[in-house]
Amino acid sequence: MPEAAKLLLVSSGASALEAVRQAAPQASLRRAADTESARRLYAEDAPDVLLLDPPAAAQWLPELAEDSDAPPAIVLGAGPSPHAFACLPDAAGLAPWLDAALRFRALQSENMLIRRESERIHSGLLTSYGEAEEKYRALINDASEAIFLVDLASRAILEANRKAEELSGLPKAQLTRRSLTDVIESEGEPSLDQNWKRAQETGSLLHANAAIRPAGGGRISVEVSGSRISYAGHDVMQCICHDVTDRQRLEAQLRHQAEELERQVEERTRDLQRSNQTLVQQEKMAALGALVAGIAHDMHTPIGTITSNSDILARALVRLKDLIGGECCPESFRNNPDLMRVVNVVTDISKVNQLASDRIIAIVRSLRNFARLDEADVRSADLHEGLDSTLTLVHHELKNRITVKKEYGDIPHVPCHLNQLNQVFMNMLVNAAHAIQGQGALTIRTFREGDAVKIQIGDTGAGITPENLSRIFDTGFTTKGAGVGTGLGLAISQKIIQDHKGHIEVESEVGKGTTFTITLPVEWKTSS
Amino acid sequence: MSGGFERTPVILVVDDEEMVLISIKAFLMLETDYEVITCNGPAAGLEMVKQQTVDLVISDYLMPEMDGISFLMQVKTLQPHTIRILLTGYADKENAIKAINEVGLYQYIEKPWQNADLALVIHNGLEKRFLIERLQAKIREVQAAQDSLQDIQDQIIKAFM
Repeated sequence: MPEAAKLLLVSSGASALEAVRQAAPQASLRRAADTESARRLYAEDAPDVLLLDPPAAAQWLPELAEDSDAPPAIVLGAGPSPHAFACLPDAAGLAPWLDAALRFRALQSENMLIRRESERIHSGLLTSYGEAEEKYRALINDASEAIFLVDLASRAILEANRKAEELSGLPKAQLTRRSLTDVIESEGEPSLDQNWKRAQETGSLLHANAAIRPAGGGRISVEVSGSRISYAGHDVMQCICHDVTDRQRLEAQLRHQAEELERQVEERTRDLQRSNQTLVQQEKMAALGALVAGIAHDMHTPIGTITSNSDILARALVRLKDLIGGECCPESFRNNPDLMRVVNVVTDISKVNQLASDRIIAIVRSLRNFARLDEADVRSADLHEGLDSTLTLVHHELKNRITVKKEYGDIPHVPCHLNQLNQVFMNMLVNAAHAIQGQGALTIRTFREGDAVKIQIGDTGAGITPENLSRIFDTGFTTKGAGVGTGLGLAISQKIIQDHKGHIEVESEVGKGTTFTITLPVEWKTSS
Repeated sequence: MSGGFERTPVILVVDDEEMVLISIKAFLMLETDYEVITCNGPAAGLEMVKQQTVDLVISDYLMPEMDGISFLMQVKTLQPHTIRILLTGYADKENAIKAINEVGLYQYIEKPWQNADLALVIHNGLEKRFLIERLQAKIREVQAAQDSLQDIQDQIIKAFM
């Protein structure tokens, strides 16, 4: 051993001292006369081996035996002692025992060091464990997500953080008295229950479609993810509840917007298709108008001539009759009944010719008025003239069946394309005529109301059912059956009236009849 | 029936439609004793106006060679006192109204015409024509009288000088 072994001899007699010195000449030896002073030296010097006389051994050894770190004690001059390292009759054979005791002491010291070191390490570990746990608690508590520590087996909530309190609206003290399934409700499949059972095996939980019902009311959508950890000796599931209310709202908004967009695209497409159909039909109407105007123009001169000639013929017949009755006529011709009959027949049919050609002229004039190719621009026009022309043209739809009541008011001329308005009038009049089965009446009223002129066309027809009433201006809607109606008439009428900055209203009662009211502004504001 | 005119009035009708010419001529021949000349185009019409005195011209508006207004303008240059009437379709009404001022139209008649209207317009036109003629004759007479008075006055002055 590098240092001198420290021996403490406790002996009332001085003779033992010399004997020990001889047995261990290199050791540092101290002697105490009684147990009292021995205790003091023991505390001061920490001896490696104790050498005790029997009285000291009897007095001190039981006490020392309680300290496992106490040095080995050799009793000199006595019989066996229960707590002694060795018992020798005297100091004569001390040397080998002392050597053994010192080796024992060395081992004991080493053991002590190791124990102390391990204790030191252990206490350090305890400290850092405590710190880690504190950090973990702080982390969980300050987390922005709601976190529950839940007993894996019983699902009892053991811990809950601030966010969890906030979401559930319950203080931690109340949360920890509940089961997780009391706080989080499951929506849809698989249920939280099913997922939990799987998580008990796999150690990780993922559960979407859950919701927390806060104590204060409302509903918060959450997604729960959990992982198994060990906490305070329990197997627990650390459940993190991610508030997905905002995300779901955004998703729903996005979905809604996408649907809205899709709907708008569809609607726009439908509108385009409609206006395309309307445009095509308008083109057709314009082409037909041009054709009609052309034909009317070409018919003008021949029909004018026929009318003139019918008149001339009538005049000539009057003259002929005068001549036949006159002096210059031979007797055989004068008052000849056969001749007079022929003259009368020609007179009669000439009158009919005049009536017929007058009517043709009226129709041709109406056709020309109706088409009005000469009026490409907007100009002030007499709506009554347009209505009358149109009435002449739809005469065949009405005659002998429908009486027309004209209630024309005092209205000013309005700016318009009269040919287009005539198309609208024609459409309404024909519709009215079709609506009337058998006998009926058609009333055309015009009147002024403020800055607007109103034209009402009412019939005593079948009327329109409420469900059809909302669709009559839709492109392609017809109740006349395929091949009869195009379903474009009212759609085009509405477009024309809208182009004239006016609007069409309709009132109808099934069984009573329908009245269309067209409103047109007296003047077009420059701003519009 | 000369309608009381001092001589048989001469009427020229110009239209590219033969049927219009025949109809109007037939009517006027039946109802009046006017001399009616018809031409189926403005060029032929102008030839006629160059050759003889025409009291009244009825012309169609829309014709292939030139329109009725240009034709009547030339008639006015050739015979300023001829009464000019335009026969026009509905579509040309506005042009016709403008022409009344520009060309000094007496009247325009819309196709298809009423024979009674036509007869009245022609008769009134001729009356104006003959009134002007008489007025001019009177003016000439007065002028002649004034001239002879002037001569006499001159002679008297000479005699006393």
